[in-house]
Amino acid sequence: MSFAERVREVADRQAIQDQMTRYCQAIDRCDLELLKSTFHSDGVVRFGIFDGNAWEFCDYDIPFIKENLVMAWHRYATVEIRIDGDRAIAESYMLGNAAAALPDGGLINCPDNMRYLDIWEKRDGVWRMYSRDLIMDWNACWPYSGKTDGDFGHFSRQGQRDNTDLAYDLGLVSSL
Amino acid sequence: MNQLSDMAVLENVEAKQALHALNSRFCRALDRMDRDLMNSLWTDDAEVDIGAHQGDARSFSEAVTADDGRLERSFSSISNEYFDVDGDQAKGELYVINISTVVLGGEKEDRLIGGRYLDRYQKVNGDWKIASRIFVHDWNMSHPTTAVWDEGLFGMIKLRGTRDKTDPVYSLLGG
Repeated sequence: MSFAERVREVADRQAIQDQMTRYCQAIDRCDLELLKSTFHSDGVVRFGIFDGNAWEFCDYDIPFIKENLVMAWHRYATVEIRIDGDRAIAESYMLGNAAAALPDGGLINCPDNMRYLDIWEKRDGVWRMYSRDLIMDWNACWPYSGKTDGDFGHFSRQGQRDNTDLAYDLGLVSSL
Repeated sequence: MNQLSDMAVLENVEAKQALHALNSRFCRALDRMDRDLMNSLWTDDAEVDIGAHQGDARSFSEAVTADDGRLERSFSSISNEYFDVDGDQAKGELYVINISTVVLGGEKEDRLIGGRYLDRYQKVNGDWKIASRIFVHDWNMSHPTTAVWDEGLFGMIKLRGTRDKTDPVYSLLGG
C-alpha cells in the first residue's frame, strides 16, 4: 500500500470507532437522530428485540428503552475491524448496565455482556453501519442497590437520558 | 522534542491499532476456545505467566482452549491499553475484565475478575505477535448465577454467544 493508502486505512479505522462511540452516546442519551446517523437508511439489524430495517429499529428502540429501563449505560471495548475498501466487518464487546422497574414497584439491576457483529460501509465519505447483530453472552439480575445519599450524594452531576446531559452543553455530542 | 518523520508517525499509529486488534483476537480465542486462532497470536518462543499456567505459550494455548466442563461462559474485554512501540518491538499494559460462569458440583457461579496484562510484543514477518504475557490480578468477586435467558427483555435476544465455532462471529468473519 502507498503512504496515502495507509494513512487512509488508519483514519478509516478511527472513523468507525468514533461511530461506535456515537452509537453508545445515542442509546444512553436516547438520542434518536444521533442513533439513526450511525446507520445507513437501508441498514438492517438483528437484535431479537427488533429484527429488520435499522431506521425502523431506531424508531422502535428509543421509546422501548425509555419505557422499559430506568437506567442504561453501554461501554464498548475490545474491537476488531477488518477493512476492505469502502466496506468493513467488525466485532466489538459491550459491557452494559441497566435497571428496570418490577411490577411491585421495586427495581432490578441487570449488568450484561453483549457483542456487536457489524458490517460498515463508507458512502459519500462517511462510515455508517449497514448491519448490526446483537449477541448476548451473559447477564445477571441483582437487586438494585444504587444509592443517592451519603458518599454518593456528592456526585453533583447526574447523567441524563436526554439532551439535558452535560455532554451536550459541552459540545461532545454531534452526528456526521 | 525529536521531530518524527511522517512515516514514523504513521507506523506508530498503525502499530497501536494492530496491537489492539491482536489483543481483541486473544479475547476471541479465549472466549470461543479457538485453538488455531490462539496459536497464531504468539512468537515461537513466547512465554506466559498467568499464575495457574507458567511456561511456554503453546501449552498455555492448548490448556485454555480445552473444554474441562467447568467453564460454561466466558467474556474477556480489554480496555485502558498503553502501548510503547519501538520499531519491531513493543511493550504494553492493558486492563482486562473477565466475567465467567463456572459450574461447580452442579451449581453455577458467576465470577468477575479484574486485572491487567503486562506484555511484550514483537513484529514477525510484518505481523505483531505476543512475546510475553504476565497476568496481574487486581480484584475478583463471585455471585450465584442469576442470568435470565428465556424471559423478559433478555429472552427476546435470540443470538447467543457460545464457546465454540457455532458462535455467530464465525458467520461474519469466516473460519
